[in-house]
Amino acid sequence: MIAINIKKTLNTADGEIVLEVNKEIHDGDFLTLFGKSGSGKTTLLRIIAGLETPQSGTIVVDGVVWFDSAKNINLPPQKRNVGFVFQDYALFPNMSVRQNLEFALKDKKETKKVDEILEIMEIQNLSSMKPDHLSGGQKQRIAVARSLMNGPKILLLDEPLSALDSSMRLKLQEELASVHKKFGITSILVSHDISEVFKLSNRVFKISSGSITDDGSPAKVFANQNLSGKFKIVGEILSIEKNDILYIVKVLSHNEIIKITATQKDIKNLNIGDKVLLSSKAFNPIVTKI
Amino acid sequence: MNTLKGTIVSIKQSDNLQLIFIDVEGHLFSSLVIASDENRLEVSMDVHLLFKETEVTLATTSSVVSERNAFCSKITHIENGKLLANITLDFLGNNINAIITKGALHGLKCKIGDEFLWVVKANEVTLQNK
Repeated sequence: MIAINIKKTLNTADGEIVLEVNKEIHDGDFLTLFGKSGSGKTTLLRIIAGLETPQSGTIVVDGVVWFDSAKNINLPPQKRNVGFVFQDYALFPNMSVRQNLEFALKDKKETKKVDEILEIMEIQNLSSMKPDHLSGGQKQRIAVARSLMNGPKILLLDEPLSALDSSMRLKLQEELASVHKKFGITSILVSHDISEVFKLSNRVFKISSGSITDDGSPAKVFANQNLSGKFKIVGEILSIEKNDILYIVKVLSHNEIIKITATQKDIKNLNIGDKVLLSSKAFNPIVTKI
Repeated sequence: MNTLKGTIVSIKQSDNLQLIFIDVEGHLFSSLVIASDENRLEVSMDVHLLFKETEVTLATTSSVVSERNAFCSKITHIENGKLLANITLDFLGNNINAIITKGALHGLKCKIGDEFLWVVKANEVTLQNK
């Protein structure tokens, strides 16, 4: 468990804000930090990693004090046992994939670990290549592999997929989900993509100007609707067209367009581009073998 | 979407299937759901009942229907389209809308001021915790 209780003043584009977090993150959680730019999400990741120091507070991970301002304890990043994945991959361009992974190893003798991770991530065929010859998706898979090299307790993911096109993003979301399932590492993701949040995380902190304003499951935080419906799909409205006395609303969700009917009353507050939750009871869908 | 406010008064359960009975101002509604841990429903909980207009059907007041979610209400408004009609009924001061085909509307000879039975199946009623 991560028990974090910190305070730090930040200078943002909107002026000075105080990042104040007092939360417990449970083992195996896949937590998403969601909020506008400059709300303190990345800073919180960097504070957990030890790359930034809060003005006051404590960070305790599984009973080990990583940071305690009152006792002057501040473990350096290399002693915190976290894996960090950045949006821009941060791979060494002059090293091969294998060398990038080896460089991350704390115990340089553990080279069989490199083979193990290469195999798990299914990137053995890339091991001798240099990052410049890899696609964005491949680079990010290497970056994820590198973050796992030292068996981290916490995986920190700072918008890792936002630079990728949507089909590659979907593929890597699957991979992140399977990595999380396989290793059970407590993971903290910064993301702006609501469907990504639903797909990956079991818990969301909504952050606004340094404060956590909402904490709960994605369905609770985003839809704020405790619906009994078993089918819940998040998507974005592409169009709303009047058909007879009904409206047909087209919603894009995971590269598929879903059409639903709505009434004039239903669409009153809906606009093209809005993120919406579609829900339906378990009784409606018809199952057909394909 | 039709919305009514109510309070859960009892729950019948068979394995994971639950039939939830909800009191709406003295009228008993039922909703059939699959039990879920993340959204547990309990007696005395206040809920919203949600159901689509296209899931509401109309019948004459003397009709006998299998569904228990059947209530008598007066028609207050009819909106006509080419294929469909949207019929508004007054249920205890709440608007209930039923979207049915024009053919069905003519067959029933619906007009404003008439009383009709409106029916929604229990498996079409979604519950939302308040």
